[in-house]
Amino acid sequence: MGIKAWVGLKTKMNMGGVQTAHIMPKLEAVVDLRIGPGSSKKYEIVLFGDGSLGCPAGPATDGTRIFLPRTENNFKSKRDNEIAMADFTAHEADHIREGNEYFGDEAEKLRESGKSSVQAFLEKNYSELIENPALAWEIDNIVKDRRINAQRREKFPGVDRHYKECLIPMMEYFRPSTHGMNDLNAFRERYLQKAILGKNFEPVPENQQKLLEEVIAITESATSIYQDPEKVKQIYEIFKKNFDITQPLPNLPPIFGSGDSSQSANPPSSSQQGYGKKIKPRENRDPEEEKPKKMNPKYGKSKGEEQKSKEDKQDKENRQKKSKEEEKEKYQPPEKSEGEKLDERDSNECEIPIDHCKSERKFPKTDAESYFERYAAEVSSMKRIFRQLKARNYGDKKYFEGQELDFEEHLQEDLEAKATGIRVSRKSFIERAPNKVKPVFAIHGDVSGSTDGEILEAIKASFYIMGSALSVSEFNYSLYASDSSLYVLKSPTEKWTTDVTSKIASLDSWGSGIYFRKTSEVIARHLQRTEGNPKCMIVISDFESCDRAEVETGMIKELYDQKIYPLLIVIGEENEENAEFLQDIKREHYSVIPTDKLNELPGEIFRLFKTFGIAR
Amino acid sequence: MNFLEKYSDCLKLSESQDNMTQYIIRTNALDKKIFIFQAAEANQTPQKIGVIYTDFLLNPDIRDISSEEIIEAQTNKIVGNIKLFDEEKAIRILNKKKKEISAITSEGAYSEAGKEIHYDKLINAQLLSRPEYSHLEKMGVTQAYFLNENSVLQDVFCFEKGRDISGVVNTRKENIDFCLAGLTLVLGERIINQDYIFEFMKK
Repeated sequence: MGIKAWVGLKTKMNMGGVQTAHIMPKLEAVVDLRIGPGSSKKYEIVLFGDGSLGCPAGPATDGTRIFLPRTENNFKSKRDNEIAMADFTAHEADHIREGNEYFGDEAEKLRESGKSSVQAFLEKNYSELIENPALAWEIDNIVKDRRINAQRREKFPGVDRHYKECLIPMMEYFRPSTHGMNDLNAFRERYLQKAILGKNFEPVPENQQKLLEEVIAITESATSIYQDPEKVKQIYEIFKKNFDITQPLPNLPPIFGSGDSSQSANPPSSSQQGYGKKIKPRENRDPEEEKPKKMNPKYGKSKGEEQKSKEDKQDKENRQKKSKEEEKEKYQPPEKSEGEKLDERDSNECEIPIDHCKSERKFPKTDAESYFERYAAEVSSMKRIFRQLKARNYGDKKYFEGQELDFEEHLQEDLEAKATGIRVSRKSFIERAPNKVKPVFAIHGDVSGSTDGEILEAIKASFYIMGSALSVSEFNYSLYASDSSLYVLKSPTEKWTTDVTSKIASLDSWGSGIYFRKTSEVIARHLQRTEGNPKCMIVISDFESCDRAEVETGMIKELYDQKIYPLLIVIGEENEENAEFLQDIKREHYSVIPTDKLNELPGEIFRLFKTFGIAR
Repeated sequence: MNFLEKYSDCLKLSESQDNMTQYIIRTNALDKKIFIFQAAEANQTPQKIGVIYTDFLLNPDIRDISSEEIIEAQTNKIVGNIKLFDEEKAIRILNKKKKEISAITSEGAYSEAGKEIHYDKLINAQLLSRPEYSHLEKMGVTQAYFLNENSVLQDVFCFEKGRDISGVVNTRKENIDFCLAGLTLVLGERIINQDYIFEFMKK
C-alpha cells in the first residue's frame, strides 16, 4: 500500500480501525516475544503516516527501529486489524532477529552507531550485482519475507489462520494486476505473490510457468539467512538471463506485513520510487510529453503551435469522419424507433421518447466486447478499487447496535456543552453496524449531433469503463444516453451484461440535444424509485439549450429539492458558461473537460463517484 | 530475599487498618513461577502460602497457557484456577469449587463474583507525584489500584523489575480467596499485554 493510501486511511478511519499508539504495550510484548525479553526498549517502534516525505510505504525496519503505520483499518473487524498490526510487528521483529543472528556481536555495534543492518547486509553481499542492485535487494527481501513468514506461520497457529482467513483473501483485491505491465514487472509481481502468498491471483502465462517454478524452488530452499546471498544470486541470474533487467524498476506495492525491510536501503538518488512516477502513459498520450501544468491549453502555446494543433485537429477529425463513414457502411445504423417504453407515464409527462435500446443494434455482442478491449487496463484498475471497497467489509462483525460511544468523544462533547451552554442532543450509544451508505448513480451522456467524433467515443468509453467496473460493486447504477430520445442503456437494477456493452457500442450521434429538463425529470424519477442514498446524477454534455432557456434553468434546484445531486461534466471549455447558466451553480457541481483531454472523462466520472457517492 | 526490607515501605502504608491482611504476590523469572506470601508481623519472614507453576511470560517454546492451577504451598492441594481469555474475560480466577472469585476484561473492567467493582487506578507518574507514595519509586512501582467498599480488596500496589513483577495486595479480611482476587489485578497488565501472543498461539 502506498503512502497516499495510508494518508487516506488516516482521514477516513472506519469503524473497525485501530490506532497503533493505543495498542503499543501489546506490540512491544510481540517484539519481546520475537527478538527476546527487553528488546522493545532497544528496538524502538516508530509510527508513520503523517504524509511527510520519506515515510516508508508500509511496515518496515532498518534493523534498529520498527516502522509501523499510525492506523490500520483494512479490515472491518477491529480484532482483525489488531492481529494484522501485531503480525506486521512480529514480521519486522523477525527481520531484526535474523539480522542480529547474522551479524552477531557486530549487530550491536551497528545499532549503536545508528547504521542500518539491512543496508549493511545488502552492501556486503550484493555489491557485485551491478546491473540492477535494486532488483537484487528486492529478491533478497522476498526470500527473507517468505522464510520468516513460513516460520512464524508454522510456529503460531493463530498467525497461520490470520493469513488464510484474512490476509490472503484481502491481498487478492490489493495486489496490482499484471495486465499492462511489461514482462519483467509482471514476472516480479507473480514471483512476489507466489513466494509470499503462496498463489497467483491471475493466470501465469505458459512461457513463464517453468521459470516461476524454478525461482520459487530456489526461494523455498533458502532456510536460513546465511543461505540468502547464494540463493538470491541464483535467482538474480535467472532474471538476468530471461529479462532486460537494466531497465528502471518501479517498486511493487508491499505485501501487508511483509513491508520492504530495506526501506532505507534504496539509494536516495534512486528514481525507482513507485508506480506513480514511472507509470506508463495512457494509450493516446505521448510518453515523452510532459503533463501540462495547466488544464487550459491556451496557456503556454505559441501562435505557431496553436496553428499546428488546429491543423492536426482538422486532420484528425477528417480521418475520424472517414473511418466513421466506413464503419457506417459496414454496419447498418439502428433504427431510432421509440422502442419499448420504460414507463408510459414518464414518457407522457415529459414528452420525450424513452427507448430501451431493444431494437436491432449495429454491434453484435461479441464485436462489442472486442470493441472495448482496449480499455481492459482501466476497467481492471477501477474494478480493483471497487473490490477493495467490498473487501473493507471483510471479517467478522464483532460490533453491534448499542455499542457504547467512544469515551473521549463523549467527554469532549460534555466539555463543549459546559463551555458553550449548548447541549447537542446526541445519543450516548451509536450503531456499529456495517456502513449502510449505498449510493445510487445515474450517468447520462449526450449523444446528439454536437458530440460527434471523439466526444462520442469518450462518452462510450466512459460508459463502458464505469459500467463494467461498477458491476463488481453492490451499488445500483443506471446509464442513459440521449439525442432527441432518451435511451436507457442500463436500468438501475439491471445487471451488467454483454447486452449492455452492445447497446453502448451501438450508440451513434445525431439529433438536436439532450433536453436537459425533460430527460432529468425522467432520470430523477428512476433514481427516486431506486433504493440507495445519496442519489447522484452525472450528466455529460455541452449543455446547449435545446428547449426554451427559461424551461431548462431551475432544473438543478429542483433536483436538489428532490435530494438528487446533479453533477455536470461540460465537454469543451467554451461551454462552461452553459453549465453556469443552468442555475448559477457552484464550480464544485460541474467540471470542464477540454476537448483535447477527453481521455480524462472516465477518471473524472470516477472522481465524482468517489467524492459525492462514497465519501458523502 | 528480605521481604520486609523490600516491601516495608509499602506495607507501612496501610498499617493503621485493623482487620486488613497483606499478601505479596511475585513472579520469579528464573524459576518461571509465581509465589504468594502472606505478610507476617514485623521482623518476621512472610509465609509462603501458594505457588503457580508459570510466570505467564509467553515464549514460542511454551505450551499454550489457557488454564493454570494455584497450588497451596503447605499441602500441595489445588486452591484455585486461573483461566485466561475465557468467556470474554482476560483473566478469571476460580476457587477450588470452580466459582469465579474475580475477573478482568481486556478493557480493564474488574469484577468480583460477577459483580463489577469500580476502582481508581493510578499509574507510576501519578503515584509518585503524591508525597505519601514518592518513596515507592525505588521499589519500581508501576501502578496502584484503589477499590471501593464493595470489594474484598482495599488496594493493590504493583511493581516491576526486569522480567519480574510483584504486587502487594491489601484485603479487608484474612482469606486466601480474597488474596486470589488481588491476583487478577497484579497479573492484569502482563496478561492483557500478551493478548496478541495468545491469539497467535491459539489453535
